[in-house]
Amino acid sequence: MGDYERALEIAGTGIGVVFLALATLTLVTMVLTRWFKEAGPSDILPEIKPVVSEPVEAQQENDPAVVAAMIAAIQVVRGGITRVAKRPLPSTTEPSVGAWRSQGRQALVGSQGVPIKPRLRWR
Amino acid sequence: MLTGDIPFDSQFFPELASLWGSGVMFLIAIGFIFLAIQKGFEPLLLIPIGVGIMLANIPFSGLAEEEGLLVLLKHMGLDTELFPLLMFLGLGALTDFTALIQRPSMALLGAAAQIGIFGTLLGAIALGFSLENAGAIGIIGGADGPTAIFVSIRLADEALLGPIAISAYSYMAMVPLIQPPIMRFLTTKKERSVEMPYEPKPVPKLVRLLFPLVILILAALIAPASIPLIGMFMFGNLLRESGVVDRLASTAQNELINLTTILLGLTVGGTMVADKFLAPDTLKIFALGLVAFTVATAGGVLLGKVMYLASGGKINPLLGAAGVSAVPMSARVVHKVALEANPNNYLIMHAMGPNVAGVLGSAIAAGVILSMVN
Repeated sequence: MGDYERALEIAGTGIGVVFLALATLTLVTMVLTRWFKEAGPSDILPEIKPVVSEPVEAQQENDPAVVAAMIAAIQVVRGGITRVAKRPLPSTTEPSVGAWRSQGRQALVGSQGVPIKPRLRWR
Repeated sequence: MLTGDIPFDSQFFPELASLWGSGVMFLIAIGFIFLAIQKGFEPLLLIPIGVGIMLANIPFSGLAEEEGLLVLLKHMGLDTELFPLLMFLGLGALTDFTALIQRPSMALLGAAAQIGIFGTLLGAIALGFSLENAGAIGIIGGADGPTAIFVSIRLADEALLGPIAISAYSYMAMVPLIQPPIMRFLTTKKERSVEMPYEPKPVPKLVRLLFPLVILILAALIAPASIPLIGMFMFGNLLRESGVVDRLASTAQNELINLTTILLGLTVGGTMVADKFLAPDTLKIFALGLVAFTVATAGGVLLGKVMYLASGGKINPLLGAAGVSAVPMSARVVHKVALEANPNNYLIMHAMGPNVAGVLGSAIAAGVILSMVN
């Protein structure tokens, strides 16, 4: 057999073998991927989340109740809610104006990063 | 006039006559170094090769003679096949198979591009090379330097190692010039404009770990002669994917591959002495290298067209050109040509799949040639 015939044989075999190998690899990879996908997310590499250290006050600012309390506190400081105290309270269980004012001030102080301590009774 | 250590004997005048050859080799070496520094053509390889050529062609230095440094390096690194195999270890540690695992069908494009290897094998036979030399020359079509060197060491005449290695690396550097005209010629603008949105899918860690082992087993069953290459490649990849040997993976990706690149380049350059390199066969090898890259690109693009038709126009046929395993150069070329046709077309991630499959394909093709020619 001459070199050219031998080379043709090698070329034919080679192309066939390369296609066979990579086609098999394709199938095996598809099976593996599907199999492990169905096995559950425990095998999947965990997504790395960046650790964000949010300041406490930022979380408090997002809380609408705290925002409302801060606005109330500012209004109290400015004396903008003096008329509220003159309104009759709907229920006896509602806190008094003084309690609202205290809460608002505490929230305001807390939003500035100062630890909120329970107010001591004035002596 | 001629004094000192210059051997002024009966052998001197023939050596003087061959000085013109050394001069030409010096010019070639300067050309490589210029291309590497000025044009950025494969500088990691062309600078050591250029310096190796210079050192080997300095008359009376003895570097390229028996007991000389370059010959010593050749015995230690090339004759034992150590350098190309260590290169494969480093390449495996650098290779990310994610794109291929996410879209495994792209591996077929990596297979189609290997037609260049076998087409060049036939072309080399037609130009009068022996079957062994033709097999080594054909591997240039794999666009994979270490594989070309590995096969040349085993099959080719010693004089052809340098031209084959230089041809492989030179054409790899010229992929951005060689591939685009072929890609444009074989595809319509409509085909080149096909958009393929990239939706990254999570790849299970176990699949990443099993993938190199699966390839190793397949190669062992189908083309066992490719195991030295594939085995080292997969070892490197396992170091990378295991996640528990970061130091080893980092060494393979950096220090090992850099050191091997220096030694391999210097040694290959050292084999290129004037009386062996300046021969008609060198020109033939360079011509065949161009044919190899052209046929490989065309083979990939033509299978890409088949996949385009089979998928109802969802697969961009340009991806086939990335099957030529010049990683990541040919993937970048595919991306660029697609972007020219459609500014919203980003194919780089899709192209990496056939690109890494091409590395596997060329190693398997090398195994087939080694086993059948031997």
